[in-house]
Amino acid sequence: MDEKLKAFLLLNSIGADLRAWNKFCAAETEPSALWKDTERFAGTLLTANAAGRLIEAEKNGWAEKEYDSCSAFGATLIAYGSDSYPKALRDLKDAPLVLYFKGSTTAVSGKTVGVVGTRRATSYGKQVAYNIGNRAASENTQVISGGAAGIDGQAHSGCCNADGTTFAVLGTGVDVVYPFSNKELFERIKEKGALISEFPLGTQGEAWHFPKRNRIVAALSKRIVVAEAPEKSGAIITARLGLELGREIWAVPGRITESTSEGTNKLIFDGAYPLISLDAFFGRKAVQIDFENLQETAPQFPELNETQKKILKTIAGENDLTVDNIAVISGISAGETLKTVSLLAAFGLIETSAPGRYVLSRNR
Amino acid sequence: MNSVAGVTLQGIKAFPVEIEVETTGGLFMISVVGLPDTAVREARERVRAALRSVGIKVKGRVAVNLAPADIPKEGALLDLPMAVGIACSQAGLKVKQPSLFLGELALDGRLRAVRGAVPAAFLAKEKNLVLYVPADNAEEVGLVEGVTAYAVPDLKSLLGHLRGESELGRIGRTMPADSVPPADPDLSDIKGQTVAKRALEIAAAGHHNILFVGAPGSGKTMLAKALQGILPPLSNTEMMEVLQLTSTAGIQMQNLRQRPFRSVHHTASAVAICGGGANMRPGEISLASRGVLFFDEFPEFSRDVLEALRQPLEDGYMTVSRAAGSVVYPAKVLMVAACNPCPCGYAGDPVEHCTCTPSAIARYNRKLSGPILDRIDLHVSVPRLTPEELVAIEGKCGETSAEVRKRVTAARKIQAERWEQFGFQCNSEIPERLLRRSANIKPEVKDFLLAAVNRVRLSGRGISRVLRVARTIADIEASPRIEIQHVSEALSYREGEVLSWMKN
Repeated sequence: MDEKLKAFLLLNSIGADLRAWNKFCAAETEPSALWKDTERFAGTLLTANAAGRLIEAEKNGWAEKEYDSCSAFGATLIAYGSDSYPKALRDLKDAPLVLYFKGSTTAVSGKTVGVVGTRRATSYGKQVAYNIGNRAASENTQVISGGAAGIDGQAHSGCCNADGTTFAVLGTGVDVVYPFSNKELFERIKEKGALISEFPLGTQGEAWHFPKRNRIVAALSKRIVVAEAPEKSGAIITARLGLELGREIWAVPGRITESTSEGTNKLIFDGAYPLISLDAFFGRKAVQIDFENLQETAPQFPELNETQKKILKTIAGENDLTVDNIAVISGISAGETLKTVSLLAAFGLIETSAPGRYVLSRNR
Repeated sequence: MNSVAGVTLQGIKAFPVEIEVETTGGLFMISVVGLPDTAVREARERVRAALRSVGIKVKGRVAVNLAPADIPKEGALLDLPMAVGIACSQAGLKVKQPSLFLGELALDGRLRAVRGAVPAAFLAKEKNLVLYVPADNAEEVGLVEGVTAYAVPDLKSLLGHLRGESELGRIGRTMPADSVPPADPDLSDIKGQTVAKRALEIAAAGHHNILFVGAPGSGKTMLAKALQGILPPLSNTEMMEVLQLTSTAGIQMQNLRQRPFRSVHHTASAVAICGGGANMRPGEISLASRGVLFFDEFPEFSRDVLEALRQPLEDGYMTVSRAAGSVVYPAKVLMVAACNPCPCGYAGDPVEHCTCTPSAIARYNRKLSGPILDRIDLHVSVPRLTPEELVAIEGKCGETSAEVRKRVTAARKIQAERWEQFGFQCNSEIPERLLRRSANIKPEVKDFLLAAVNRVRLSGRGISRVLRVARTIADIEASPRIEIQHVSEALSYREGEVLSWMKN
C-alpha cells in the first residue's frame, strides 16, 4: 500500500476530505509527514481532537487493516486522482478522498440520472420514482440514488427490474445493510451496478451521514430528479447542491394540497424543469400497452376474453382503482369484476399499489 | 331428616346438590356446611326473613349440609331449596315427589331470577325430577322439551302448592322463533366494498376466520356486524348449546335463532375473553360460541390474550382450569379481526397522509404475524373510498343479506355432506392431509397454483389455506371440482396480500 493511499485512508477515517488534502499538499510533499509529524498540522489543518484520533489510528495500523478487510470483503477502494475515480466528482471542492465500491466493476459513466425524494413517499411518488428508474434502464441511462426507503428504493428497484445499471450511494459502510428492508434490493443492485460509500467499512448510519452523502449523489448525476419531497428535506438539499455544481434539476409536480409535494412544487416555482412526462424527460415518444402481444409478457396467460381485456384497459386508463371503481367505470357487474381482477392478479398482469387498489403490473 | 335438592353450576352443566337440614335445641343459629361460597353463606339471612314473611319462625340450632361435601357451591340459587329444607324440618312440610328447587329469595319471600335455569332443566329432565324455578326464568325453561316444571312467583305460593292447598302454574312449552330478525346492517346498506362483502360470504360459507385491514372510517366494523346477518340460523342442537351458555352467564337472548355477535375491546383481560376467574365463568369467546367474535384493533391485543386464544380457536372448546377443578365451555366462534395498515392508519390512503416512520410500520407488521394469524384464512384489504368514488358508486346496491344467506346455507349443506364421513362440518376444519387427498384438483389447476405460488412465495401452510378457501368458493358455486378461477380468487385473500403493496 503506497503512502498516499494510506494518507487518504487516515484522513478519510477522521472525516476529512479534499479540502484538507489540498491544504496539506500546499505545506508538505511527503504524505508520510501526515502521521510522522501530525502535531505540525494540529490547529491549521486538523483540530487537536482529530489529530489525536489520526495518531491513534496510525498507531493501531488501522489503514493497513482497512485495506486488508476491503480485499477480504470484496470491496474496491478507489482513491482520489486514480483513473477509476469518477470524473464527475472532481467538480466537488469537498470530494471524498476514498470511495468504497461493492458490486460489479461497472463504472459510473455516460448518461446518469439521480432520483431523490422523501422516505415517506405516497403511492404517487413511489410510482413515478419506479417508472423513472424503469425507463432509464431501457434508455441506457444509469440511475443514481441513496439506497434509502421510499423514493430511493423505488428508483433502484425500477431500474433493477428492467435489467438496468444503478448505483446506491450509502450513508453507511458498504458492508452495512440499512434500512434492513432493502437487503434484497442491495443484492440486486450489486449484480449490475454497485453500492458506493465514502465511509469506512462497518460505519453505522448516523443522521449527519446522509446529508453528507447527498453531495456525492448530486455530483455523480448529470440530471437530478426530485420525485417527491417536503420543503425541508435532504432531497431539496441535494437539488441545491446539484444546482451549484451546474447539474440539470428536474422536479415532479404534485398536488398543491400535499405536504410531500411542497418541496418539489417550490423547486419548479424557483425554476427547476417540471417533469411532466417520462417521454419529455427522456425525449422519446410514448410506448403503448401492447394488448396483442401480452402472450409474450405472460406466457402462461390464456387467450384474453372480452371482459378481461375491458378490465385491463380500465386499469391501464386510470391508476389506483378499487374493484368497485373498476366495476363502475367498465360497467361490468361487481362479482364478475372481482373474479376477473383476482385472475389477472394471479397471473401477474396487475398488482396492488395501495390497499385494495390496482395498477398494471410494473414487472411485465 | 328430610332431603331436598338444588343445583350448583359447573361450566354449562348443572350438578345436583342435596340439602339436609337438622334442628336441635339451643340458642338460635343457622350454620351452613359443604363448601359454601359467600353468597350461599349469606343465604341464612335471606332464608330466615323469607320464612318469617310466610309465618315460619326459625328456632333452635339449625345445621344445613350441602352434599356432596367436597364440591364448592356457588350462587344465590340455593336460597330456595334451603328455605324448603328448613320448612320441612321445622314446619312439617312434606315434599312428595323428588324435586329440584332453584331461586334467589327476597326478604319478603318473592323470588328473583337466577343464572343456570336451563342447565338445571336439562338435569331435571335427565333425572326425572320436578323442577321449581322463579317465574322470571319460566320462559327459558319452557324451551327445554319434556321437563315437568313450575313457575314460582314467591315462597308463599310454593308452600301452598307443596301442601296441596293451591296450585302453581305449570310451565308450558315455549316455541322458539322459526325465523331470524332482518340483518342489521344489511349487506345492501354497505356502499361498494365488493371484495370485503364477497370475503364475508366465503367466511360464512366455510367458517373461515377473517382479517380486515383498512384505514379508519373504511367501514371495517360495519362489515363485521353484517356477517351475523348472512350466517344460517341456529339449528336446534346449536340453539340448545347457546341457550345453556346464555343461561349460565345470565344473559337475555333476543332471538333464539340468531347467532350471537360479540365484540371485544383490546383492553379486555385474558380472563374476560377466554373465561375463568375465581368462579370459572364463561368468557366472551364462549358467549360468542356458534356466532361471531369481533376483535377491533387486533394488533393492540396483548400477547398473552392472543396466545390464550390459540387453543380454543383450534379446538372449538375452552378448558378453564383452577385449583378447584376444571370446566369445559364450548368456544366455536367465527373470528373477525380488524386492524389498520399502519399505526396511524392511513398508509396507502388516497386522501389522508401516513405519518409513520418506515421502522414503525415494520414494527407494526411484525405484530401482525405469528401463530394466531395461521388461524385466519382470509386476509382482506378494505380501501377507504374517496368522496368522488362514493358518489360514483351511489345507487349501486349489491345483493341483500337474505340472498347471500341462501347461498351460504346451500354451501354449508354441501360441505356437511362431503365431510360427514370424516366427522367434520366445514372446509375450515379440514386437516392438511385430508384436504390434499380429497380436494379433487385437476392437473392444469395444480400447475396454475404452483406457478402462482412460486411468484408470490407461499409457505406450505399458506398453500393449504388457499386450497381450503378455493374449496369453499367452489362450494358456493356448487362446483364439484376446484377450477382455476376459484384458486385465483382464493389467492387474492392470502396472507401477505394485504401488505404486499407496502413492500414494493
